[in-house]
Amino acid sequence: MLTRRLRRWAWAFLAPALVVYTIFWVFALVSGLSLGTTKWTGFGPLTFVGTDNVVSILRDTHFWESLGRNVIYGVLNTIFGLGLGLVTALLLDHIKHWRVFFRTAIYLPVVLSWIIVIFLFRWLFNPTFGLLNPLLNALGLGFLAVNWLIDLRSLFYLIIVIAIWKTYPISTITFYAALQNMPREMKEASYIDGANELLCTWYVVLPQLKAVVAVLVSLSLMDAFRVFDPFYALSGSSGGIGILDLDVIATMLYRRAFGQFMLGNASALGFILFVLTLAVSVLFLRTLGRTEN
Amino acid sequence: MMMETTQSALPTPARSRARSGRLQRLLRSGLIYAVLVITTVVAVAPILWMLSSSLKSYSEFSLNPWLWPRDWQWANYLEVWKNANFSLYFLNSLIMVGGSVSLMIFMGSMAGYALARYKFRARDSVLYYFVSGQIVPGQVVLVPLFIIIRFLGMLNTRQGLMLVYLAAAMPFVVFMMQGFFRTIPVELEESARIDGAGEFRIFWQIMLPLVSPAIGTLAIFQGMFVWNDFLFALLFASKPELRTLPIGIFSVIGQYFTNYPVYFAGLSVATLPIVIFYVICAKYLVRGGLAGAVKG
Repeated sequence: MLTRRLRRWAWAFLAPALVVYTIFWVFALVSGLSLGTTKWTGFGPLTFVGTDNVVSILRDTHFWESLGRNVIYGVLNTIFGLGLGLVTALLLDHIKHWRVFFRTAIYLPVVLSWIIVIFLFRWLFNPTFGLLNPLLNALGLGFLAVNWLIDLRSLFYLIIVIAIWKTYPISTITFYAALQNMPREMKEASYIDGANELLCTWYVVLPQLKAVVAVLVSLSLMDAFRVFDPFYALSGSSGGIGILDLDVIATMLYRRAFGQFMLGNASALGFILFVLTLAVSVLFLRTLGRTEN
Repeated sequence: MMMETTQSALPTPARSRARSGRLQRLLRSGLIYAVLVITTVVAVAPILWMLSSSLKSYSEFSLNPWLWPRDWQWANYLEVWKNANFSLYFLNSLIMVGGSVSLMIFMGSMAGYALARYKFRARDSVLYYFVSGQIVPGQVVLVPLFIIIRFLGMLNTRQGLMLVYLAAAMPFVVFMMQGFFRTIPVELEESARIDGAGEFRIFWQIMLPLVSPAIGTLAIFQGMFVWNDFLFALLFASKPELRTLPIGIFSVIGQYFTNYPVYFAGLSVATLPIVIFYVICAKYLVRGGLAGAVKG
């Protein structure tokens, strides 16, 4: 009797969260997948087209170019992000003073909004007024100075550099925590065996970070498939560029859905994005399982 | 201490070797600090530069863009605050953060409490049901969400955007909450129940206050997500009266593109609150971020 009353209470507590989550997330996901098999402008009749959307997307070179940008962004961001993160974390782990100060300051770019970051840097690389080209000239790197708003290839790599600046501290902080939690005994034992600090880091510390690396790589890759703000922000009001030439999957989806009203096609694109992120997370879980064995 | 006494007892060549070792150590730690200082400058300088530029007059800015401002032009802030309507965007951002985060915490803590504290058959399945939503990217549900919100007549309303934030945050919030509640001993609520307290009262007056430090971290995190969100706000609340700061910057700051100090003042209005907030809460945030990153 008491347990039945308590069970009813449990469902009452669960109800608000369950209802909102089910309608606006789970139902949305399911209906998005089925919408992907249709052709619809958002108004009027809806026609079933089966796998036509997916097929036409896979045949579209623009899709492959956009996906390519996601992949390049993801690979570079992961390699440099984890590399810089590991180095800064090892340095932080070595010092005795000012740890909290350095940790707090280094992490700052992570909490900023992408929109602010892009609008700030966009001004810096404006070819007429910005400070990036004069700075490059002053550093003797004048050959790197281009018209960033027209040379879209350069702009793309510039976005990646900014993205590394903005996201690598996540790796720093995660590696740093792992280093702090690492038992000291093994390190000390290796010193007694005659290892110097470099050898100890390479043979004792790094192997213990494998699981953290797996987590960070998968988070970073999933993030790379989702990236939207920096690429979309460049098409904004202050002399933005035509985004078409710098599309990633998410901006392509957004423009197809809400610029061209191809809701079915955009949903199919969303389905492909979902499969890609799912593949990354499955891969991650398997790697994690292997490292833990 | 012990090191030093042994060193002084050593013969001269060994002592000089020890001294050079110490010098080497000193050099190396100096190098480490130097690298960390450079890293810090790279992280912080763009933001400081933005703040400094926002306080300059146009002519001072064009003359020396790199220096700290000589006389501070608060008028730039007045311009964006009044004429560019940033007071409205600021208020909208505050309302969205306050409303969504308190609802997230309220709903998420109730669900997390139920999952942590009551025994019923579907319990684990419900938890998995919530957690699996975490791997769904927002872009995937964007189109159907737009259709659902439009169907409910909530496009370009605060409620519509808030519902989207709530749904997006539920997997993480519920998961974290049930973890928090599991750390509290069962005896507490059992004795309260024997004393005749109602179930909601046990939750609201006894259990919730016990997890409030953990809730603080979670709330800071979700608040930053809402404050910085661009994608959902762009789609669901882009009409001028409802614009939040990121949307305001995206859509109106361009008219100031030739008046750089005002442009940077606009960016600073959106940046300063989060930076100040971050510096105050950094301790909790970094700790909470770790929990999220490791479990995520």
